[in-house]
Amino acid sequence: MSDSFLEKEQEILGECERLLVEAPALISTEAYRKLTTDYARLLKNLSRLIRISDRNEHRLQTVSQELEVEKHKLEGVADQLAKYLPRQIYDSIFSGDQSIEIKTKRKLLTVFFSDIQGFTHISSVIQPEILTHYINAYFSEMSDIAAKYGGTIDKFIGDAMMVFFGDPDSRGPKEDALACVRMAYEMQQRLSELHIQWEREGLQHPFITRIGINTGYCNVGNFGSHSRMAYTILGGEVNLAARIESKCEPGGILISHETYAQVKDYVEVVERDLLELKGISLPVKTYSIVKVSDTNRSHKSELRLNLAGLDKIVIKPAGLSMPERLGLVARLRDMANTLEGIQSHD
Amino acid sequence: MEKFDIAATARTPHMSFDPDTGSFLLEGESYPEDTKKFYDAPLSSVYEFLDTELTLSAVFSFKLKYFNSSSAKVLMDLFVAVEESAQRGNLFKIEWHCAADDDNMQELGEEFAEELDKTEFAMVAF
Repeated sequence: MSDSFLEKEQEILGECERLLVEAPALISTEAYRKLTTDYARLLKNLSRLIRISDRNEHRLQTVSQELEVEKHKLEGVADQLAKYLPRQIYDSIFSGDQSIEIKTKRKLLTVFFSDIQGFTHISSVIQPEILTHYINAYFSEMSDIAAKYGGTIDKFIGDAMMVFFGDPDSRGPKEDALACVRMAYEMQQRLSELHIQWEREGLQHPFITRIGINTGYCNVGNFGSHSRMAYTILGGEVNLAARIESKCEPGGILISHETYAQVKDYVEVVERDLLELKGISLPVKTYSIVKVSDTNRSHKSELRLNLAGLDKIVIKPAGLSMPERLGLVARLRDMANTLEGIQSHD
Repeated sequence: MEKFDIAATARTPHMSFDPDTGSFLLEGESYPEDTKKFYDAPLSSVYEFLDTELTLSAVFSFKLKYFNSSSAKVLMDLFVAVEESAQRGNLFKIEWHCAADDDNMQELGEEFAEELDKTEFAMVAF
């Protein structure tokens, strides 16, 4: 409150001071009475203002406490809601980075699909309560690994799991793809450990999963209606990841050529036959993951081929001199030419 | 003496005055950034009105939900000026509106009414 609020009071004080200095003898009973009246009013106003101030402070404290309780309640609800949303999406929404509107964008993502082999059969032979316990334990373990690598868990579809990398946060296509492959590799390793533990507990049907991974441009964002929407991804590349997963050997990880191109320096793979996939017009080149390395292994990578009609070729370029490499290339080219010249018996 | 009608904002109340009918209204919440600046100009018209000899009975209505200390000082000064005008023979009624469960605002009204002798004061619950 500025002094200008006390203009009248200042006038009274000024008048008193002036009388005292200029003509103290002229201070009459009337002037003294007026001063007393004004002073009494001033005192009363001061007393009211103090009470108002105290009341406001008390009210502020009450409102603040109520807000704290509401905030606590809201946080509890938000925590519960968070379990139904990908953590990254939840964080983006609550930090205000993500708007709640039907809007999508195209982004380069690495998409992961997994499912449990023979799950329909497993669910028919295990008691529902036991199945619920183990499927929840399975998803919890897999979700923790996905969170560790920064994957956005899109959804659980029955026994299947869909995760993507590259949105809402991306560390670049290569890093996103590598994080996805590393996550998949750790999931399979962890599942092997869980098999032993769960078998000991009496579970007779282990959860063996197939994993398919693809990298490509997808539509990502909110899909649905204005009243109910889901933050998810759509597009041919998503379907391709799902199709690749269906062709993966149980317990394995199958990746597309596009994903392989991003991670090739860090993985040991077996190239698979070209796959004819439902809904995909051209045959698809895929690779089975054998091993994932923490460090760049491009200088010591082995080139493995495991195709129909080919028993085994493992090329170990490390340690070869350039003339030796060129000699090997020439020999392989000869083999390819010979193969082209052989008439098909079909 | 100018008629005015100032719309409410998040921090300031709705304030209206019509010298022809002698009605003054202050409604809402009052904690302006600059209280003096907000109230000075419009209230100068009201003070001018209070200094005149009135031919009608004026009604000043207050429907406040919250006000800060500096707004309280403005209100106290206004109540004093109304009472002084009433003591000069003008007819005034102050209506202090407050929610039935708002004890705080009711007590404030009662305290302000302590200044009033010649002015009619009515507590109106809503």
